[in-house]
Amino acid sequence: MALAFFENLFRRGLVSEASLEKLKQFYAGHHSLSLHNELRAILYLGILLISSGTGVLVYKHIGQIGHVAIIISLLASCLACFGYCFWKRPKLKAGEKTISPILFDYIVLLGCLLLLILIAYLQSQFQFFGHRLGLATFIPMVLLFAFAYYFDHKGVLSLGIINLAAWVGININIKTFYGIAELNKKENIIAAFLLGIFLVLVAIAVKKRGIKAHFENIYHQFGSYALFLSGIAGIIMFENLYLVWLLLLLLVGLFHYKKAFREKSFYYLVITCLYCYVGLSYTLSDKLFSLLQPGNDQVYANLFYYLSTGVGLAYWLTQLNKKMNANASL
Amino acid sequence: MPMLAYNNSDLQKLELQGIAEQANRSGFITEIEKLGIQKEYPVQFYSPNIFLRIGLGILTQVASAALLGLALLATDAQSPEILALLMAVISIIVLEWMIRNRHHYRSGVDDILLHSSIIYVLIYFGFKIEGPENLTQLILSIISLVLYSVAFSRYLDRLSVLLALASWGYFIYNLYTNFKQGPSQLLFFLLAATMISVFFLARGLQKKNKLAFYHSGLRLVEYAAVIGTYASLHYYTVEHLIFDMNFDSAGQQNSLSLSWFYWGWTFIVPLIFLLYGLKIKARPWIRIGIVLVIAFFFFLQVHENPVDHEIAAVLYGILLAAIAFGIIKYLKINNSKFTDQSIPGQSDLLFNEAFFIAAGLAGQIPQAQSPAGSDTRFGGGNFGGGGASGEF
Repeated sequence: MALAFFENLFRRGLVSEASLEKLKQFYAGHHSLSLHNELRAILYLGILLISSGTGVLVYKHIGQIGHVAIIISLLASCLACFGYCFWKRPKLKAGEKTISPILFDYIVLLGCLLLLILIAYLQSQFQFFGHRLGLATFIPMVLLFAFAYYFDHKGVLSLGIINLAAWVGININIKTFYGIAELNKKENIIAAFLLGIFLVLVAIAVKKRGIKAHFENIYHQFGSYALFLSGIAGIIMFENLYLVWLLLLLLVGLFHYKKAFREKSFYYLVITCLYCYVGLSYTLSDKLFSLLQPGNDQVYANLFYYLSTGVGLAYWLTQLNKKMNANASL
Repeated sequence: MPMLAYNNSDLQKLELQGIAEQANRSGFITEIEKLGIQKEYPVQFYSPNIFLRIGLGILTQVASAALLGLALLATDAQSPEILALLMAVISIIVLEWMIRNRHHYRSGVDDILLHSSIIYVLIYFGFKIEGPENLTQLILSIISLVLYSVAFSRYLDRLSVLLALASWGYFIYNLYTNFKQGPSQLLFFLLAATMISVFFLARGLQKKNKLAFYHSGLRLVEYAAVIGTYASLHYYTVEHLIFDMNFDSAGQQNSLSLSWFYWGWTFIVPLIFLLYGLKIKARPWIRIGIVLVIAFFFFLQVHENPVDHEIAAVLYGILLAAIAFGIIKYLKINNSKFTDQSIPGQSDLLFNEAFFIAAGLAGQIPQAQSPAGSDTRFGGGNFGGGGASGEF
């Protein structure tokens, strides 16, 4: 039945003969079912279990296993992982598409995770970096960035950026609600904002200069979140400078709005609208509506505001979406 | 009022656009061919991508919550149940208006309006129904079953059909516990029997030509029902409900009769799903099988604790990585039935065979361009051929 539909399209000139032939082969049952995603998911789960299990194993069994044995086994595992990746890494040749060995990406990730465990162990047990905690995050950060670039691995790059955030004082993990809980201090907000600017600039630079241009998206996403979240946190935490932070947030929004239209990205369009809406709404609720008589007046003003702006912004987003689609088809 | 809220012709064209998209993703047709097909079958629906859908959903929820707040404030929350009913009516009116005049289809706005209206109705009945807790729960489960079934029938909402299935399971549970004090082992067999009957019902309904647009939702029910059947007799479910909900005394904890059966069921059924999936080359069954097999070992570790968790994590991790690696290596040589190559969209394309058969599109392609302004709402479209009546 489905094939007849495509045959009809072929007769009407909408599908070429070559395409129809492929579809005929497919519907005749001469096709293999791809298990690519399923197998990769299992592999990834396996690597995560190994690395997280090793981390807890080291932590819980220090007394039984002994320091030397732990360090040697972790170091040997790291060297084995990086050794494998070094010898098996795809050789880049201009104009040729490279194919990585099956386990390559996963072994790189495993090696980096084990390296982090080893460094954390050395620092916690032997104060390897002394009391210079900055150095304990700086060294793994440099190593992670180096491995990310050398082995061309986006996952390791993300780990490197998270380490960079930790180095400037913002811990991104589940305990801190992925960094949000860290934004209750003024110095952290400023650090996060500057980090955001830095990451966005790096994203622009790698794209423009073509140095691993495919890393641009990773840098930009982390940078965008740092900028938007610190912008909103700045409005809340800087009582006297909230207008400056609002202005900064709107400037960040304007930058992302232009990027969204330039790249036809609905993702950036939505996050820009929502983050700016949150920042603007907080300012109006906290600074403007609070001037009204306390009680019902304030509540009514807020509710009317959220009702009208909720509908209005939804309408505006749909119009922007249609405009973007129209531009895309040009 | 017609059952489907959407224009049949647009729904069919949307399906065809989706098929062209999948054929392109599978590498069967080129991007230009895909765009040509999509241009040939234009749809009026406003269906934005997932990010906009989430964004529009959040904003709709903000507006809806603000309206409820205003109503509560204006009436001093005198009769919240009447307000809830009023909010449900307003949500449905706005939803119908958005569909008729703005052609919203899975836009985020319609999703939130539909589900908030159902929740408001349930809140209304929650206030209104008085009586013993068990009876109240029973009546609420019936109401939610009816509401979510109607929501799926009219708006093709896939979350609604899953919630209708959950309501059905909850209804059976409440029905049983209303007549018998606390769950006994018969309850789990009853739940499994009802779930498997839903599975066969969903399968049967997918063969009906008239229900072509419901196929994707029914397929979801099919998979959810089979998982529900498995979960009903899973060792954890039985043990948890029998012992932890203190219907039996704590002293009986070591004497769960038929425990050999529950353990056997918990271990063997996922393997059967996986093997069945591999036999018929159906990705959803394979995925369900893989997830449930892994979940079994996780459950075994948590429940029986044969080795320390961290050692188990390392061992299972090595095992999983080795199995995946071995299969990938094997598929490099033997790839006649299965392959390790990445082919997105291929499996979805096979599912759409059912749509073609049902809608009878093979012989007669729907009119490519509907005249501007022609109202084909509720009962337009004339699909025939392929042996299907195609009356929508």
